[in-house]
Amino acid sequence: MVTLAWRYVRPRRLACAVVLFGFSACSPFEPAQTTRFKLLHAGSDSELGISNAHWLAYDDQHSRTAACTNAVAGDHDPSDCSTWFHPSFDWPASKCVPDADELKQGEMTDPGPNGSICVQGVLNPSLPCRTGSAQCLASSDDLNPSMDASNMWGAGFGLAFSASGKEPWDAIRHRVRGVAFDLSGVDEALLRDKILILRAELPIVLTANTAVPANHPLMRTDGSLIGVGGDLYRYDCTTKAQSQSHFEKNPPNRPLQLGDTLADADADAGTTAAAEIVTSELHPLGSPFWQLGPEASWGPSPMHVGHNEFEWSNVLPPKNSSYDFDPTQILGVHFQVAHADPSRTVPLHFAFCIQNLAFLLDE
Amino acid sequence: MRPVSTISVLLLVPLLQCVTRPARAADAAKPWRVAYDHCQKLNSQGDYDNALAECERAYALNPDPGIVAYIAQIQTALLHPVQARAALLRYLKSDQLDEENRKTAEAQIRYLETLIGTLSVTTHLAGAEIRVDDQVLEPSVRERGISLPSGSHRVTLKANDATYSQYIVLRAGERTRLELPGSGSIALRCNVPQVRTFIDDREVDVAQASNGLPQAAGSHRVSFEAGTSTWPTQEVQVNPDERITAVCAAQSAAHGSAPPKSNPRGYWIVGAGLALGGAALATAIYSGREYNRWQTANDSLRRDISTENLPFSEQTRRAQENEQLMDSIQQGRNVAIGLGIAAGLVTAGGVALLFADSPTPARNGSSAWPRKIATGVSLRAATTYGELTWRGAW
Repeated sequence: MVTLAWRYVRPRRLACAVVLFGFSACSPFEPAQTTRFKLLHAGSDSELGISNAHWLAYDDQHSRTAACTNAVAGDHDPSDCSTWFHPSFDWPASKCVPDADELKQGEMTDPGPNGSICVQGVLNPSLPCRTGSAQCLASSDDLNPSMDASNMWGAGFGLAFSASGKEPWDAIRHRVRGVAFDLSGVDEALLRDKILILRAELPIVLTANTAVPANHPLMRTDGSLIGVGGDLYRYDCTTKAQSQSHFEKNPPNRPLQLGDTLADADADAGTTAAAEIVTSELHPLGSPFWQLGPEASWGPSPMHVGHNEFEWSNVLPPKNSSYDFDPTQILGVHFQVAHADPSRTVPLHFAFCIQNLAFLLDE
Repeated sequence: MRPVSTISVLLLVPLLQCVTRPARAADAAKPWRVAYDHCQKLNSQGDYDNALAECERAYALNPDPGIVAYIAQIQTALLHPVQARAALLRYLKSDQLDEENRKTAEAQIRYLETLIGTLSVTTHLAGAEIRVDDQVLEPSVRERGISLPSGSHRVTLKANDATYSQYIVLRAGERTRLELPGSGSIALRCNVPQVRTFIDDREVDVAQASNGLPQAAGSHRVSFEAGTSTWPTQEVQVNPDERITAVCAAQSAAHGSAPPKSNPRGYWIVGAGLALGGAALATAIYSGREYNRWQTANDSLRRDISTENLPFSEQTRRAQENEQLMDSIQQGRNVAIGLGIAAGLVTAGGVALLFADSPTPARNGSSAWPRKIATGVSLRAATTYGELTWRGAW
């Protein structure tokens, strides 16, 4: 005789156990949806429609207008401006704008898959304006009212999406919804306490008639500067003499536009300016960057050590700028180190690494 | 030993007187005299068996009526009334007796006959051996009867390896006839419809056979037939006055006929099927546990992705691990399903083979093993208690 007996087993529990076992053994799979992404790298990417992308570093003295040392803008000593240690520029900054070959020293090697691109540099303390109020925008800080806020803007590096850096790339067409990257090599406390201001910036192509604020000096592509009063300031690198003249506009009564930053605009009465690409990098307030929103501010991007992601909706133009961020006109992805505290009297040495820079793809 | 009755002691005295009569002085050295004297001496000492032997020897040497009278007295003392009467009858045949001794002997014979009964035995069994109290009863005297002391006697009949024993009580002075049974009966039972029954290859009526048919003691062959199905012939041994029941189930065949053996391959295959089922269940359980592990990892990954704090490389690595685990689980499930199907098929095949290999009676009879198994199962259940029981022979 074989007897199988059970006691104190409630039928409901037994049924429940059977159902649970069957459920665990037969339940369907719903894998977590991983983020769709596309890693960015130097060179060409046919899938994204990017060609000749390249990494480039620059600072307020080793850049196209060299505003910090420019004789008609900041006119500061190179040692007082910000600079990179890695990568490094072996040419001394001067009061004149550098040529293209000199700027190419800022190009950086692509780190490759899973590699990190690491930078080191220093932000020197802000200094008062050395030029007149028409050529230098003084800080509005009550404690440091005269600090140069327009020419000592810091340092940056980034991945330009074209060889010239001026060919717009359409994120919408390529179903890209944002940017992701991993940040490392920096103390989280520096970011949390806003001692180190890091911004993820996306320069875009703007139209020539984009309005510019009237109270800001306007640097031009040839290193000349349109002062707040409407005069054009030039520095002759040969004779080392400054000149001042009235900037001619066509029509004369129109307000200043971003197209006026193009150096050949006055020579060709605006015809060349129409053909030249105007970018947010020429805007006196700079390019759009990742912000918390919804209102634009001058704070840092809300990045932290580790993985960071943001979408186009969180990319805002600088505060008080008169343009909008257009994801169809992106020129690249940049990372900038900006001055945080104008009252800081000691240099701020910084270093950090960026890894796995990628586009976030639509789901 | 029964006590010697007063009457027998009293009768012994006159006979002893007549025994002394042949003794003369010239006979003292003769062998019969020596034996007779020794007999008397042993008798006086109560050693009746040896005394009887000595007297028989003396009588053989000298058939004197006195000696046989003495033998009769010893047999009486031994409570052998039949032998005592026979001795006295021999005594009376002597022409040397006077009237007084003759009357005394006749009186004693009448007394002995009150202690004797007669038994006659008959049987229909040819060649049967009949014993009464372990003494073989010759066929010639069975009908006529034999004289025996009254009381209980054991009668044994042996024929065709069959043995029958019976005790019988004889009453003094009466004649008893005993007819020993020469047969038993065979009952044939089979619940298969339209079954035909045979005893020693002769068809017998099913209804009568179910009630039992008289059969001579000894070995008989019984068999069943139903349509095209036949059961193996069974050898049954019938003892006198005994009823043997033979049924058409292989396992129930009467009296030691070997049960038909079934091919064990069905059992092996059913066992293999059950083993496969166990493997399927184990695999399913393992897959279930692995699924729980996968679910935990997947939920963790989903949570980390939603917080946007997980580097893509880590996302990719964990997603790949989860995918590998998922593939493994799906493979495990497929294996479990395959094993389950195989288990079902193999088990069903094994059961089919069991049917195919089972002996013919099992297929047709009401005692087929599936029915036995089914009827052996019982289920008792309550709200908080349950019991599943299978009861059967193996």
